[in-house]
Amino acid sequence: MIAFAAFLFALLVIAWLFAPNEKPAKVAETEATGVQPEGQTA
Amino acid sequence: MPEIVAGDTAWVLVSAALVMLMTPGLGFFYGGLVRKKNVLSTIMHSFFILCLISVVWALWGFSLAFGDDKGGLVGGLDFIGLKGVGGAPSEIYGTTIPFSLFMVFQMMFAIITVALITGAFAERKRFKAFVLFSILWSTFVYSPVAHWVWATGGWLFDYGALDFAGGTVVHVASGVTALVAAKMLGKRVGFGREKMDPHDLTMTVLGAGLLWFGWYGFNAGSALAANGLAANAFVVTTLSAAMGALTWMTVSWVRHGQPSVLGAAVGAIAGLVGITPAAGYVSPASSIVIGFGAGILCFFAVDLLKAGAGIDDALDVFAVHGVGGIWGALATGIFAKQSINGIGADGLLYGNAEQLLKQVVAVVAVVGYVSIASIVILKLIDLFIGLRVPEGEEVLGLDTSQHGEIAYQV
Repeated sequence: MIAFAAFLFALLVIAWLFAPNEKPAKVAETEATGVQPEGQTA
Repeated sequence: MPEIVAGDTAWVLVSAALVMLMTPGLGFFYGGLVRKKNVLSTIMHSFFILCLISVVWALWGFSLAFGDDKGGLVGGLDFIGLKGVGGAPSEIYGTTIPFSLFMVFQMMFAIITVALITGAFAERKRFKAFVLFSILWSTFVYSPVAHWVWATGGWLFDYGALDFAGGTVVHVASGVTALVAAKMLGKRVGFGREKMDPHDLTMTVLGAGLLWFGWYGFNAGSALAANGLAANAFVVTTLSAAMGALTWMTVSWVRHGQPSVLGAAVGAIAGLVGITPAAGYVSPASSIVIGFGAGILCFFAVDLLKAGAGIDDALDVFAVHGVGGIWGALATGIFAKQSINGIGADGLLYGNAEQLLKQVVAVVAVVGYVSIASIVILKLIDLFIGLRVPEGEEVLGLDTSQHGEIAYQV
């Protein structure tokens, strides 16, 4: 059971490492236009 | 065969819960100090670590810290996956409480130590890098250092260095790592040019209150029994925190012309850090001196680091926990009194200068090992994943760029 618990935890760690990091729309917008969008920036 | 004592067990159960509350409390403390675009990511650091290190500690961390000694440096794999850690007391650790309770009490220390470091890389660290760093640091730094200082057979434990509740293990280790991490990550975009004021000091003061409350479990709980030693730790914890707050506030009043609310909150934390290693060994009068020293030293460390060294330790983790922890460890060697705790020792003031030397050795050893190990871990992560978010994401704020959420809809 300890080995199975460790296996489940290892699965989570692998998922974290390989999970996609979606570029936020606002970052893409800033990169495309060079203009900082309004919003929670301070 | 050791037997369970109900009163001791009840107190340590409560203490473990108190120490658990410190980590979400730290999330509020740190969360209020950052800009509002980063508050969720900062709180998430603490909350995520609460979950992550719980599992790491159960699977292998506890065993590496408190398993059978291997050369004074690390524990063996005896308790891997909590094998053999049950309701019966240990013959070595906390002999009047269930061994599983000792394990979970120690788990809360492992959790908050990693969480403390997050203040140094707030507002710019990549979340994946933070996750990997937390696992590696807890495994290769926290568990071995806890073994050195607290485990039977640990080389600093056998040497006679005193650390009642984690001055070196928790605060020096996290503070020094914070300094290393801040240096390696570099400054936040706009650091030194833009104002980076705390976005919500009410949140920070609430966090400081929760930390102070939880610290009673941290220090008085470290007696591992409901007895006079725990009561003494409770008293000295209160006095040092109070003196730290009063002193920091006063110094900032004299230097900046106004009594700072933030100064009072951070000063209380400095006082709590300072008394942590000494809580089981010093008198109430000594704790007042220790709190005063922590307030002064940590205040000037913040100023010096920000202005002099130019390192962007975003939430002053080294100045408060590193400097406060070193002060506390050395103060233990000065003010410790064997009449307070029979298994302790007298310090410099009571005729035993050697105890101060032992404390110096412990501090130097922990600072040295933690610095090198942290540099290696951070370099490896930087190589494979990258430590920082890209500049555009940092400017936007980590709440949006890393988590896709914002804290305030108003």
